[in-house]
Amino acid sequence: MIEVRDIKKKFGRKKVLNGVSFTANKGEITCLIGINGAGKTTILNAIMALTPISGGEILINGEKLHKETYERVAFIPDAITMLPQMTIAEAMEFMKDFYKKWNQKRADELLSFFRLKPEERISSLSKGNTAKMNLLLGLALDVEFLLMDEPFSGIDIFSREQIAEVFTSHLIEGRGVIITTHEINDIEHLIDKVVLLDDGIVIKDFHTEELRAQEGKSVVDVMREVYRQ
Amino acid sequence: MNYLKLVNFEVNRFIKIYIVLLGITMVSQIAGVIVKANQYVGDVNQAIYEELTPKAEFLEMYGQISMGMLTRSMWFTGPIALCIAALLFYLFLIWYRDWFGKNTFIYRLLMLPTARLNLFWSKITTIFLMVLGLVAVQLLLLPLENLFLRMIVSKDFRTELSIIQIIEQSGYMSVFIPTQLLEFFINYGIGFMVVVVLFTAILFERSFRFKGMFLGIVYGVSCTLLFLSPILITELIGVGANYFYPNELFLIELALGLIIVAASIYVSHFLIKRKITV
Amino acid sequence: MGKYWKLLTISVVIVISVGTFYITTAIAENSYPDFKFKLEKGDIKDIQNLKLVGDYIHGMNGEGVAITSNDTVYSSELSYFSQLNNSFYTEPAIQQLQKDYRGFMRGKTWHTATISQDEEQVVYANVKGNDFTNKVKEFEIELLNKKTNNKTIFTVDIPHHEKYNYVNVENVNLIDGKVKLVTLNYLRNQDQTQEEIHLFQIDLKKQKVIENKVIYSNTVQKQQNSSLYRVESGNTTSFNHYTVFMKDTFKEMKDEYGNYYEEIGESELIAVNMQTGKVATLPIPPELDLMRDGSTFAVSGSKLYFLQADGKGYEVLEYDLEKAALNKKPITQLPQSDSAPVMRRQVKAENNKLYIVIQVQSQKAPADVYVIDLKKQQTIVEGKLVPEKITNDAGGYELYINDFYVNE
Repeated sequence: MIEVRDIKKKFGRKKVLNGVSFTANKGEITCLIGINGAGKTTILNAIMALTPISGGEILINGEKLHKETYERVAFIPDAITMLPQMTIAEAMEFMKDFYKKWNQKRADELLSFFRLKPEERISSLSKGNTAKMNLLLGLALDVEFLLMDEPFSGIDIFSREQIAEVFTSHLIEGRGVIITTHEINDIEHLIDKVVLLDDGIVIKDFHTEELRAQEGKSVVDVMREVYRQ
Repeated sequence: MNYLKLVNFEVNRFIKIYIVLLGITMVSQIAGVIVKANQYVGDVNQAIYEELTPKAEFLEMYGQISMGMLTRSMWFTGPIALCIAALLFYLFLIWYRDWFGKNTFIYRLLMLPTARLNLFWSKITTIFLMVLGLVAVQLLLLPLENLFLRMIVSKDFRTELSIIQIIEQSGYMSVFIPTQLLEFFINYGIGFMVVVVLFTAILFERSFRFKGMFLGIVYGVSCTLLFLSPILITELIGVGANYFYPNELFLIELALGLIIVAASIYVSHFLIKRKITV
Repeated sequence: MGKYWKLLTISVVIVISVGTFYITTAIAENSYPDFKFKLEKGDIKDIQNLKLVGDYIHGMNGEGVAITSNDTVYSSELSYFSQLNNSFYTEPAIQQLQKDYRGFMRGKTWHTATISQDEEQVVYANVKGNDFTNKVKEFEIELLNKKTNNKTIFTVDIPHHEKYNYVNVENVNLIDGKVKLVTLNYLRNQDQTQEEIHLFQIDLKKQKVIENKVIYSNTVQKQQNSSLYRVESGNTTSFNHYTVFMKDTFKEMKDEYGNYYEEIGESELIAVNMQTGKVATLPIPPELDLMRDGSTFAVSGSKLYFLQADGKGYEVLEYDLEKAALNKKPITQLPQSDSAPVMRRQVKAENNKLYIVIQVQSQKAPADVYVIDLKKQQTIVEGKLVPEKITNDAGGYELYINDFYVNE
């Protein structure tokens, strides 16, 4: 379980996170939703200790972050995170070199699933293929948790479908996933839990199934209610 | 070991530029020896065979050619200055290129399942390997260049110099290649300290950005003042800079250097673990 | 291992190249020669305490060298710490004081002029302040009791200090609980008098200047210039009866093109008796050939010694400072040295002996060394400095002897 407890973050005078708390469980897909600038990426960065927080704490399976945590949690950022002059094969080699939890079999499987060419240079990849490669590098790690930052933003429809397919496959099964997005349509049916963010606080936090069962509303309905106010 | 993997990775990232630097140095120096030596031989022939100047008089006027002389020509100082400039630039680039540009490799580096201070160590190790590599190549080049000079200029017209003598006569080479081993450790120890302090300042900037740049400068200035404090304080209170005996001053500076290095590593460790931001 | 080959190659090249360099440097024998004293007369024991320091120049290389009868040490052979401590060029008397009274000598000058000692005390006296501000105001006196290790520090105002641009302490002496300072005072207003030699007496108990005597005023006529400087050499930390100055006068001349140049005129020696403050002057006849490059004069007791070329070699002349008279008869005669041109000659007196080092332009024997017993007035050592081996064939070498010391 990833526990985010009352975290705060300021950029200069601007408060980006103003006491955010939520939990994300293993075996569930938790979705952080908020308009751009709501601090979604900052939360993921904070979980991975890529940016300091000014208050609160983050626990992973009850422990604070340390270097072994990176063998348990993988972050798939919305950016190119390998050197552009590397080929996909070299990027995979790099991961294999440093991570004990690297699963070569799964990596090869993903490679053919995404139809990526290992000899291709990262600098020449399309936006969609870059996202796929990032996903590959994260998913091929036998980690308990996956954090994905905007995996669907700015990529073509076919790539989106392919990526969405991943979520229902054995590649995700049993792991805990936190994804951020500002558009919910493609994945509404996939997600188990929603954390709605606005102005640096959590304004609503619910399980989609409960919502559907108890109130008969979709996630989009709730978002409308919340953001139109 | 992750540290070694990182060093290897950093070295491989720089190797192309590095090989170019080595190539320029080698080609320029060897070409310099050949060109200068041939010029000199030309002068000798002109003076002695055409103008019929006596040999002794020619030597009186122009002197013998020596490797020491050649090391002060642009053929040598040019590429060496280029290497120094490139490595100085690389001190900054080795950190900043991971943040800037289209790729954000720093994500990947910071998320590696290893102590983050290893990044710091791997970068500093890479810098030192690159510097010492250039020194090593220079040490290999000198005997080779000596050989070229010997082949081109006859014995009467050149001063035969040993490697140490060449280094001493160049004036500047003895900074990188002091003739005493202890001095080698002192010079590179000071170099190490400077790089550690600079890296700490860079980490300040990378952690707190604009405010951090200010903190980094303050940190650098403080370290400089601390290191120079025995001299500054004795001058300030008027007892004179020779208040300490030279060997005392040496030990004091050694202690201060160790303190500065230890403090910088501690601060860097804290910054890279807790305060750094992508 | 395969993918580490670049890192490995670089590391191996560094270790081999740099390692080989320092190993060969460490085991390589210095190719510079060892120098030995070859005596034609006397015993090597009599120059055991003699140490010549200078520079050995070979082609464009050069380094410091110290030569004793036991060994020849080049500066590159010294340890880093010895190099730091400048152990070649520090006078043995100062080195000894620094060893014995480390705390007291801390931050003090490394020259013997401002230090004096007797059985019980060490005294240091100098103008306070630094050379940069050009402010002359007071003397600082520091005193160390050798037995109790008690330190006394006080300052006294320099009388009429506003008159002087600069005051230089030339000699310090400790006599009967008083400190006597001989100073050269450079006047602010240099109409006629340029410098004054002062003798100060400072009472250590009262911590006051009890005497300030102008013992010599250097006045010059129009179109004349002069320089006044202390000449006698040797260890002056123990009591010296005399402090000796030389005054050279220059005449301003005009050549045929209207350019000014200076021509050396008369010279005179000014000897200050440290006990009585009396001054003896000795005009130097123009025919006396003096090399004005320091260490030309030596004082032993009340006698001043110097060399005079006589065509066959040198005469050692004695000047009685008490009687203010030149002893017409030279005390001894030194033979000509292989007709090699003389570069420099240096004389020092120690323990009633006169040590003479004459540097000549010769590669076979670059210096002549003499020791003269002043009581018996005879030459007891006569020898040459010779290189034991010369492994460098080309070009030859030069040896410059800058100074020499006689260890007590």
